[in-house]
Amino acid sequence: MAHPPEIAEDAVGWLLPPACREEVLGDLCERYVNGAQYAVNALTVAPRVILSQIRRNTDAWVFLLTACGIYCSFVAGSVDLPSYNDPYALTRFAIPTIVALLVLLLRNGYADSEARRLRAITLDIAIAMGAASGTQLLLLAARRPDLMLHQWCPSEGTAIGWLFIILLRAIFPPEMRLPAPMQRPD
Amino acid sequence: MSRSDSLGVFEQVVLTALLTLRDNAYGVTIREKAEQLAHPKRVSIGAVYVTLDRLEEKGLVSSRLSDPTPERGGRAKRCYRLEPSGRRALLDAAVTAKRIWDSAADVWGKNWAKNGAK
Repeated sequence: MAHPPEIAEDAVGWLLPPACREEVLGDLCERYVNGAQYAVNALTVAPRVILSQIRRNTDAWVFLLTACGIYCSFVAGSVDLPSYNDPYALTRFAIPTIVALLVLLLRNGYADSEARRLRAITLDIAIAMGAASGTQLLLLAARRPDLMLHQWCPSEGTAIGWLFIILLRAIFPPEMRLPAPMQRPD
Repeated sequence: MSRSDSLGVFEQVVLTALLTLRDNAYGVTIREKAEQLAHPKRVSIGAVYVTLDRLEEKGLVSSRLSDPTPERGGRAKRCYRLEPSGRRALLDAAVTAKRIWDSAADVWGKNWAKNGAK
């Protein structure tokens, strides 16, 4: 029976969320005909299962609170309050907020443990807020300095946002709803 | 059944596939059966995973990992099973479908489905 090349399986396995990696890789292997068909199958399956895991692991209300919290953190970290005459005032704070939220969503999609410890959650938040700051420093500085937050705002906003989300997640711990206990037969 | 618990057409198809496959219901076989049921529509395995995930979250199906097999590269299958609430939901959907069928047959005649397909 033909099997997909090991390197292809490794690549697809890396792409798939750990919670469903085993069975999806097995199903793809069972349906294997040739490399092209395997690649098409894998590329159509991966986004769906990632989105499915994100939906499972994300509480809509906590996510909304997180979004508001991050946005307000960057506003609070700003030395100057947003001016009504500034056309980019709201966009400037929205960009790092969106980046942080996207990273948090992806981390939710790839969460692999039923009992997520505070350390993992803290790391998730640090990565998300770091990405938000990084976007400011790297992307915007190179292309659109007019959309950058002023001076210490990214770092202060990141620090405030980090503390706020940790507090939020401590009050509302993430409810991990994995497909089923990853039980194996003895 | 509340609105949030009502079944979509594809959910009904997947539940019916689980009902007929019994102990052999996992990703590949469910997709094949669902494609037979949804003919002539194509069914992607990704859509099947998402639907099974949603049905499991609703508590209509349950799953467990089975033994790894060589044809799957030594990987386990996730086998699915209809829960009693899933059976009830499917039964409700089937009863509604039967009522629709009977009502349509009263107006269009008994061979309406066959004639309509031509």
